[in-house]
Amino acid sequence: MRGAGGAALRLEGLGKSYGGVTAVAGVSLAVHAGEFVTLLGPSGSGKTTTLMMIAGFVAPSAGEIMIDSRPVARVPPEKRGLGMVFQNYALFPHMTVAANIAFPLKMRGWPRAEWRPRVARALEMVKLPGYEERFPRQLSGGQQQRVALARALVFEPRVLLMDEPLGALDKKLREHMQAEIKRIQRALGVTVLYVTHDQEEALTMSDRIVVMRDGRIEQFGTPVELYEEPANAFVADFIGESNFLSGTVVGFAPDGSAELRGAGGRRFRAAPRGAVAAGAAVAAALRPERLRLMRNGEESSGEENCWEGRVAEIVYLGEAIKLRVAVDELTLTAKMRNGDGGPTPCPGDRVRLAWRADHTVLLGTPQPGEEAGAP
Amino acid sequence: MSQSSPFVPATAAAMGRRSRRPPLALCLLLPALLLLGFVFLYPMLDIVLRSIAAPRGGVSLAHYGKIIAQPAYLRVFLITFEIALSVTVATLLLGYPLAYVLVTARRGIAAAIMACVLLAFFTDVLVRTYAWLVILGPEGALNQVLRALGSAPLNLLYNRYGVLLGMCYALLPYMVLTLYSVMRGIDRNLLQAARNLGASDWRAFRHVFLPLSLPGIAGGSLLVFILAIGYFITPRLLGGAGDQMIAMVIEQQVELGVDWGFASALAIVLLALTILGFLLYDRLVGLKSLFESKI
Amino acid sequence: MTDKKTGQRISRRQALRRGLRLGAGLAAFGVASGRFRRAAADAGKVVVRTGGGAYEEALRKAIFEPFTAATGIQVVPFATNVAKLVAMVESGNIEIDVADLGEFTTVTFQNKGALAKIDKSKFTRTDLADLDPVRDYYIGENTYATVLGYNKDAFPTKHPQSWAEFWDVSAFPGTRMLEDMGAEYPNLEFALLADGVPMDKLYPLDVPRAFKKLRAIRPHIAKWWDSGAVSAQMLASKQTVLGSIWSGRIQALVDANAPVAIEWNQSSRQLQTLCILKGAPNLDNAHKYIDFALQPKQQAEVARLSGYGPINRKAFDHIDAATADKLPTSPQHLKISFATDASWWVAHRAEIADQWQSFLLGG
Repeated sequence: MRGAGGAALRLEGLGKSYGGVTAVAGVSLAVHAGEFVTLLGPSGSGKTTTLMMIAGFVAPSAGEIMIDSRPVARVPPEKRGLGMVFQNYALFPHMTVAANIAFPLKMRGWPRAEWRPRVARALEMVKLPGYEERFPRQLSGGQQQRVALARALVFEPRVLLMDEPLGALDKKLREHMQAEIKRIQRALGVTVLYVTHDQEEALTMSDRIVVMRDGRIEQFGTPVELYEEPANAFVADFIGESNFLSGTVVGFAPDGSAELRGAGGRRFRAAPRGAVAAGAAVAAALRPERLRLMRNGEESSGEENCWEGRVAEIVYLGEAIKLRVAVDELTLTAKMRNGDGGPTPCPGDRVRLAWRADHTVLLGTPQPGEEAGAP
Repeated sequence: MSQSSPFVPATAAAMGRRSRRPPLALCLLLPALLLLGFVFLYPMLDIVLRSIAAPRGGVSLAHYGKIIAQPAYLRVFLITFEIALSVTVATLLLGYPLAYVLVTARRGIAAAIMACVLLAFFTDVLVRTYAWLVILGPEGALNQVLRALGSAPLNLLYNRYGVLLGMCYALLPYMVLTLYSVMRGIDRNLLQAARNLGASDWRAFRHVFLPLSLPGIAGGSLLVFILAIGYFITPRLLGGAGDQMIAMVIEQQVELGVDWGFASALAIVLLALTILGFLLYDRLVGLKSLFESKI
Repeated sequence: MTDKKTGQRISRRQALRRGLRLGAGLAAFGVASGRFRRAAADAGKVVVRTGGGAYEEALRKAIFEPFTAATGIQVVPFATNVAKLVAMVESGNIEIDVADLGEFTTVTFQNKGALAKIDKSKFTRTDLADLDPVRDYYIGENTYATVLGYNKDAFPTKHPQSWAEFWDVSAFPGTRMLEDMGAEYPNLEFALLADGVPMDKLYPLDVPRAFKKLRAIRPHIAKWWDSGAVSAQMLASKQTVLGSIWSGRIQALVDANAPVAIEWNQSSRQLQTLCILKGAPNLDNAHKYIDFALQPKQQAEVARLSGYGPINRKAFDHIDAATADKLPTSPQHLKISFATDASWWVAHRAEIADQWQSFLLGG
């Protein structure tokens, strides 16, 4: 099965409100042709509503949807030419696998002679050859997922929408299907807009990720950008795990890093992003795995920051060990690879934590109601 | 209780050892089976025996002979099936869109429609039928409206139209509720999926919703048909001489204490014909094949 | 208080419990005096089958309440249809003492051997010489009639005064109704009267002749009514202008000022009877009840409340002329009407039912 390539997708101020409640507030977004973009956010963030507006099941209150250069906001769903995979697969229970996959061909008036070979090729693509005459109820969850994928792609749409497609699968199968979906997407070159609330899934699969909250885009960027340079505390917290430090800028070091004074007068240094003025109150995020536990008597090796605290809790994760360290009234979480050597501290031990200034990411101005202090 | 009580361990041991005990499910079912046997099978048997009992003891098929010999009774059976079938088709045609609106409309509208449907359900059948007498009469509400509009009055009482109107109204809730329960179970995502895959509104309905609602159509039709076959109050009050249904004849034979044997024979023939019709329906229509589609 | 069996004094609470056990019937009577409650408990009860409805209401005022007041015997009305009564008789589980039934059903039960002979020697209140009919197994209680009813607007000056005129559709145009077998009796007698059979020579009915005459009027019949309510509704709403109808039903319309009227000439009288079921649990009280119910005063009261004609001739001593003029058994109406022969109908009903069925379907 060859794809027809992907189409560019652009949202221009797309909004939806129900009565007085805003579900999606003016979302603008440009997805390149062939790109894999994920809408990520907690439930109620507006990601599914956005997808449903693109699919045509929810009428937007404002804005436009462009597929390549064609406006489709007022086009009925069956004329948008988008493939879609639903959360619960939405296979037609009264149709065989073959009838399910041939359904879009039939509806779109493809010649009957092409149905069978195309169905066969689609099933091959999702690695279910020979399953034509089964009924959906005779398939496992993963197999149903594959059939749904085959059905969504058989008519060669240039954009594929996926609404939490792997939510119902167990972890192993989910990881396997993530790879499968990526493989097929690359092979066909189709543009994918993927909705999930699972940040790990988003990080693994996406070219770029849209983090949404309360109907707005919090940040749009590559997985690396989102992880290494979260725009705000919400993104820093939602993607991966973060320690949050707040403080006042007291000065700048010769290398350009900012000198901050945190709660309790503790000082630390951070790499500023953009212009930060002395005297400004700022928040910073610090990934747990960036904290290094220093052995007794060990000197810091280039880390600008080093705090001492008491181990409050140890969480064994298998491949890693998580420490919760109380530094005065702050609690920092540190994550160390298992088998790094050296003794694992016990709760109550006094330890020192070191980290580099450029791993301390200054966050954008905290929004009202946002918790920018210590978690 | 002391630990020396032998009861608990002994029972547990016995349960472990004896494998031929009646399963628990059967024990739990027993009261229901007994009740069914008593309130259903026993009277059924009684009716069969009555229908073949000779007046002075012994067995006689005279009652059945009379049904065959008197063309009037066969005609009544025919009329009964004719009316029941018409009512089934009419309630389906009326009830399907109603049920569809019920599952698709906004909550307020759906609740209002449901209330209307259930209102008809909760009113006594006799009261409803008398209401039809008032509405359909030559001086009734309907004809007064027609006259005001300058149209000729309609003769809807004491003929087949009256019977069909009254029975459709009485049986519509059964059809609507059966359809509604099936339609509500249809995943709305499937319709969206169909639209997304290129089906127009109508084709999504035709290829997805309609086939999935077939169990409701079959169930509702069967229910209405079987209920309609046994109707007698409505045809009795709203029908004319040509609208004799078999239950009216049975009721007359029973109520006036005339001939319970003959009434039993009529009931048995009705039951046999109904079962036969059902088997034929199952054979000819073959629900399963209708339900499933391949390419 | 003293219990009869043990002779022991019983507590007030026990007595109260016993009183409660008397059931809903007594409570409905609103009888509250302690003296009366004790009398009722001692005298027992009698279970009377009625058809329910307005007729039972009349019986309650005219017979049940005065009977209980006079004898202390509690009357338990038992409203049931004939089918359930048949089932009760067949199962042998008799809960009813006295049955207030149409003569057709009474004769049917008598033929089944389901009735007890009425021991007239037990009667102390009613003089049976004033009553007709008095049979071994049942006694006439009162009478209703099937009359020729018509709409006065349709026939302001001249209305049909016999069944022959009813059949005359050119002289008296308009749609008509006649009784269906489902109601009780199809109007074979009226057909024969219309065909010239004299009123005293009706029985045994010439069935083929009657059906032939019915076929002649069939095109003009809007409906063969099979319940009293339908016949009243049809006449009241002008769906028919002419028809056979039970006297009680049309009288109610007349009393409600509907433009309808009764022609009593050639009306048929049907008998409501009292009988005792074989195996009646309260046999003695059953006799007492019947004896009481047939007294002139009770009969007059039932007639006044229900419009049914009393069987006891002396009842008319207690009925004013205006009321008597509405009753099927008043002397002036007796002269011009005939009694339906229930025994003939019981004997021929099954075969007529077959013919009626095919007649309805056009045969």
